[in-house]
Amino acid sequence: MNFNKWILFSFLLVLFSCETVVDSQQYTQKISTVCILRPYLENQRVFVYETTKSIPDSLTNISPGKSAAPYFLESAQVKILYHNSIIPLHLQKDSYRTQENRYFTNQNLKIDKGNKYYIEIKYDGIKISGQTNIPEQINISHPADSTILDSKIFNLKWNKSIGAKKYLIHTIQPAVIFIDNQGNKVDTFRQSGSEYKTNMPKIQLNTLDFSKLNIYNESQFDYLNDTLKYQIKVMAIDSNLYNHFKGAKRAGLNNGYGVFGSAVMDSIDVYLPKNELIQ
Amino acid sequence: MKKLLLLSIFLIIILNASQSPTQQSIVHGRVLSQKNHQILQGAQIFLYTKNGFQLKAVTDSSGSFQIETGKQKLKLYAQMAGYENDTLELALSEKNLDQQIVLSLKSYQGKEVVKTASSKQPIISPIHKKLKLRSNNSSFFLSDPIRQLSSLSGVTYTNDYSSTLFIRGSSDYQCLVSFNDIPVLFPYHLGGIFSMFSGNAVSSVSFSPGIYSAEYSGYLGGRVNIQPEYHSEKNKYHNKISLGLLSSSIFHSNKLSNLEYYLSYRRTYFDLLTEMISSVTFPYYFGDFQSGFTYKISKNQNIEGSILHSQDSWKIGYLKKDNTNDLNWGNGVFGLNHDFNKNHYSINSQIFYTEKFSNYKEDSTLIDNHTIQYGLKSMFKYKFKNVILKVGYSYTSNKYSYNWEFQNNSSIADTIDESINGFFYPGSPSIFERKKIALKHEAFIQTTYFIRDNIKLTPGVNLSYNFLINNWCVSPRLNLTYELTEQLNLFSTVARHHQYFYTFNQWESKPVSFPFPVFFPVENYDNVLSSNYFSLGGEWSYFKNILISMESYFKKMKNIPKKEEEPPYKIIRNIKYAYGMDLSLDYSRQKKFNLNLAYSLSYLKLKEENRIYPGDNERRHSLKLNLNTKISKSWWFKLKGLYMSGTPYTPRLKYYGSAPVNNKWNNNDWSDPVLSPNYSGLWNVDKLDKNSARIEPYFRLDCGITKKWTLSDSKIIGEIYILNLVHNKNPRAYGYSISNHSTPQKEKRLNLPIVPSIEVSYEF
Repeated sequence: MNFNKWILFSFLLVLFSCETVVDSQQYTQKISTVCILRPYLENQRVFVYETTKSIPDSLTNISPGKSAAPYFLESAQVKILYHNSIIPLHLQKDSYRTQENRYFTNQNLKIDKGNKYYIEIKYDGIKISGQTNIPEQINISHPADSTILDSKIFNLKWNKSIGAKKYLIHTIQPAVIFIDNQGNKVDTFRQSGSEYKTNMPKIQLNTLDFSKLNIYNESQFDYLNDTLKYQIKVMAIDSNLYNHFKGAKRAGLNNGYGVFGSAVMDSIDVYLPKNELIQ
Repeated sequence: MKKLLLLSIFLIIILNASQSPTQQSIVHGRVLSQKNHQILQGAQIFLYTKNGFQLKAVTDSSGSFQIETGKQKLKLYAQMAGYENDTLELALSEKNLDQQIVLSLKSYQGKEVVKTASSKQPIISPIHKKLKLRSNNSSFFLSDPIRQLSSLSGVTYTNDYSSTLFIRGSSDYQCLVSFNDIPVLFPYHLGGIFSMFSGNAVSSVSFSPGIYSAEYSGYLGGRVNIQPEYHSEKNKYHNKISLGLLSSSIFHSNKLSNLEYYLSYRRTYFDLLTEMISSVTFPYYFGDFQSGFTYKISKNQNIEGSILHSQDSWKIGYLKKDNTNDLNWGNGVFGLNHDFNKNHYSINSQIFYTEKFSNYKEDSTLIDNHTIQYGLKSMFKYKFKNVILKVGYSYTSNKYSYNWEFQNNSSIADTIDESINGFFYPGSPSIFERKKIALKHEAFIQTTYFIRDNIKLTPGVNLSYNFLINNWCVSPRLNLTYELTEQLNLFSTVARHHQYFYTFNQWESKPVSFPFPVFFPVENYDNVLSSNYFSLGGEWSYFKNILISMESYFKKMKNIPKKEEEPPYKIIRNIKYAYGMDLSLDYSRQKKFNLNLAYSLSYLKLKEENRIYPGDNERRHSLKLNLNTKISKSWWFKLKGLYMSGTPYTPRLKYYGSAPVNNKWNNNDWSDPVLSPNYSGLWNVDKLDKNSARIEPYFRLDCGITKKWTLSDSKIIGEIYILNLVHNKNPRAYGYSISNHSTPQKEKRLNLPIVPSIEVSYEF
C-alpha cells in the first residue's frame, strides 16, 4: 500500500470522525413551584417560576441580587384542591420596599388543619401536581403567654401535632425603646396602665438548627442575649417542608423543582430579666 | 546509550558498460567503510521504486552487490547496523559508466525519537516509543520527562496543572510508571503539576500505551519506564549545574574502570530565597534526589543500583505564624539489578523497595500514611532457532498503612481551604486507621515464534496469586506481527490485565490529583479491576527519515471504583469503554530537524448502573506538534503546539425555589417562612446530565530557543522558553458559586496564562 493511500485512508477516517462535540445536552424547560399552606395566614400564596437554560452564556446575564421576578410564570394555571372543592388561583402583584412580589392566590382558599390538600399547575404543556397533609394544631402549653420569666433557662412545652414531621422553633427579639409621655426612657417591664410607643424596631432572628430536634414536648433554652422581650414561635412542619429545608430539590411535587408543603404555628411572648435597656 | 559510530560508508558503483540504458541494466558495486576502506559484508542496498524503497541486494563476503534495473534514473541507499545510512542518485548513461562515486555521511546529535524495534525484532506495538532526552531540553516543563509524554498520541493531555498520565482511558494510578524497572507509586509533586524526575538525570523514557508484554502486570493502562542518565565517559567525570526560574539542580557522574555512578539533586528555592530577603518565608518546596551505579563484574555480568527520593514539604499555618509544622509527602525508591548475559540466554534479577508516604503532626492533627511495595523478581530469556523464550517469577509484598486524625481546629484544612471531611477523597472520615498487607506470587511465560521470516507470533501469560483475595488471576497476551514489506509492518494485540489496588482521588472539579492519594487494596476477587484490550495497527517507514505509525484500540475496563460525590458517598464500580485511534508521524533529518506530529481520536464511555456517559478527561480530538530545529551551529529553536477538543463537564440548571444553603437565614431576611408569607425560596443550581456538555477546545503554542556556548573543557547552555505564547485563555473547568442572595455565577477556571521561563546550565 503506497503512501498516498495511507494518507487518504487516514484523512477519511479523521473526516468521518469529526463532529461538533460542544454542549450536546438538550435543554428541557422545567418549572419551580413554592407553596407553603399555613392556616394562620390570611391569604395563601403560590409562586411559580421557570428554570433558566443550561447553555453556559445565559447563566451570566442576571446581575447578583436581582429577584427572580423576571422568571415568574404569570400565565401558569394554578389550582388547589381539597375535599371536593377546586379553587383556581389568580395572579396577584404587589411590592414591599424594593422587592416585587408576584404570586397566585385566592381569598376563598381556607386551610383546615388535619386535612389533605392537592395542587395542580399547568404551563405550556407541562403539568405538575402535589399533595400535602396539613398538621394538626400546635399549642405552646408552657410558659403561658406574656409570662415574666425568672431565669434565662426555662422549659418550653407544646403538644404533639399529628401530621408534623418536625418542629421549628423561632425566637424573635425586638430591640425596642419604650418612652413614656414625658419622653423618658422607662423600664420596659410590662406595666399595666401605661402607654408605650416604639421606634425603629429591629427584629433579630435566632433560628435554631432544627435538624437536631426530634418530637419534643419540652425543651430548654439558654439565651445569651439578655434583652427585653422574646416572642417565641413554634411551627410544626409537614414532611414535604422538612425535606425542602434539608436540601431536596423537589418535595411534595411530582415534577420540576420546589416544594408544596404546609405548617401550623403557635406563638407566645415572654419577658426576661434584664440589666439594661437595649438601644 | 549506544553511541553511533561516526563512520561513513563509501558506496562504489561500477556500471556495466555493455548494457544500453534503455534495456535492463545490471548495476554492481562494493561497499567499504570510510575509515579504513574495510569491506562491509551484509550491508543492505535499497532501490527506490514507485512503491517506495525496496531491498534489492545485500553485500557478500567481498562487499560486492549487483542490482538489475530497467530505470535510467536511480536512487539507491545503503544501510548497515552501526553505520549511517546514505543515499545516492544517478542517471545511467554512457558518460557516467565506470565512474566511482563516493558518498560521505554526516552524523547527527540532538533530541530524537527512535523506534526501539526494527522490522527484524519482535514488535509488540509500533506506538511504543523511546524518547531520548538531551541537555538542551532542560527548561521549565520541558525538563519534566513525564510531561513530555503528553505530546505523544495515546496520552491524553488533561490540563496545564497536571502531568499525571492518562493513557487511553486509564487513569494515572492505572499506569505503571517505573524508574529503572522499579515501580514508583505516585511520582508527582503537588498532586501532579510536576513529576519527581529531573530531566538532567534522565537518559530516556520508554513509553508504551498498553502493557503488551506478559512480563509486566498489575496495571490496566500503559507503561512508562524512566532510564537514568550516566553521561559518563571513561575516566572522565561529568558535572552539570542548572539554575532556573522554578528550581535548580546539580548533577555529577563519573566512570572509574568498571564502575559508573551518578548523583543528581534538584530543589526549588523560593523558600530559601524568601527566608533570606524577607520576613515571610515561602511555605513550600520540593526536592528530588536521584543516584545510581552500574558495575561491570565481567564481560557477561553487570550489577546496577538505583536510588530515588522525592519530598514535598509545606509549612502549615505559615500565615498565622503560630504553627510551622511541615506537611511532608513523597516517594522513596531503591533497587538492585543483576544481569547475566550469554550468547543465547540471559538472566535478570532484581530486588526492590518503593514507598509512597505522607506525614504531619500537630496538636490537633495527625497524618501518617504509607504505601510500601518490596520484593524480588527474576527473568530468564533464551533464544534458540526461531524462538525467543522469556520466563519469570516475582514475589511482592504490598503494605497499605493509613492513620489520620483531624480535629476541628485543624490547620491543614484552613491552609488548603478544604473541609476536614473529604480531605483525602469524597467522604473520607476525619479519623481513620487501616493496615493491610497483600502478598503476591507471580509468574509469567512469553515466547516469540518466527512462523515465517515476516510473521511473528508472541503469546504470553501472566499468572498471579494474591493472598488477600485468595485467588489466582490469569492475564494472557497475544501479539501477531506481519511484515508486509520492508517498510510496512502490521500488527495486532490482544491482552487481558488485572489490577489489585485503586484510589478514589479523582475529583471531577479538581484540576489535579489530590497530593495525598490513598490507595486501597482489592480484598475481594469479584472486585479485582480488569481490562480486556485489543489493538490493530501498522507502522510505515517512508524514505529513511519518516516513520508513520497508526494504532486503533478497544479497551473494556471493569470494576473501576469511584465514590459518589454526595452523601452517603457510596462506592460505585464502573465499566469503562475506551476506544479510538492514535496516529503519529516522526520525521528527523540528521541533527538539524526533528518533527513529531501526533493525532488521536479517542472515546471514553462510563457505564454506571443504567447510564452511559462520557468519561472525564475524554478529548475527542487531539493534535500535537513538536518541532526542534537547529538554526545555526549553536542555536536551537523549539516549537510546540496543542489543539484539542474540550473535556466534558456537567452543566448546571439554575432554579429559584430552593431552601437556603446551610439552612441559615441572615438578619432581616424576609424569606424566613415563619415571618414571611412571601417565602418563595432562593436561587440554587441543579446538575444536568453527567458530562453532557463540553468545555471549549484547547489551543496552546509554546516556543523556545537554546544557545550553547562551547568553552575549552565545558559548555554553557542558556534557554528561554515561553509557554502559551499567544496567551490563550483555555478553560479547564467551570465552577458555580451559590449564595443565599445572589444569582448563581458560573466561573471559568483557566489553564496557565503566558509563562516565560529561563534556565542556564553549566556543564564541565
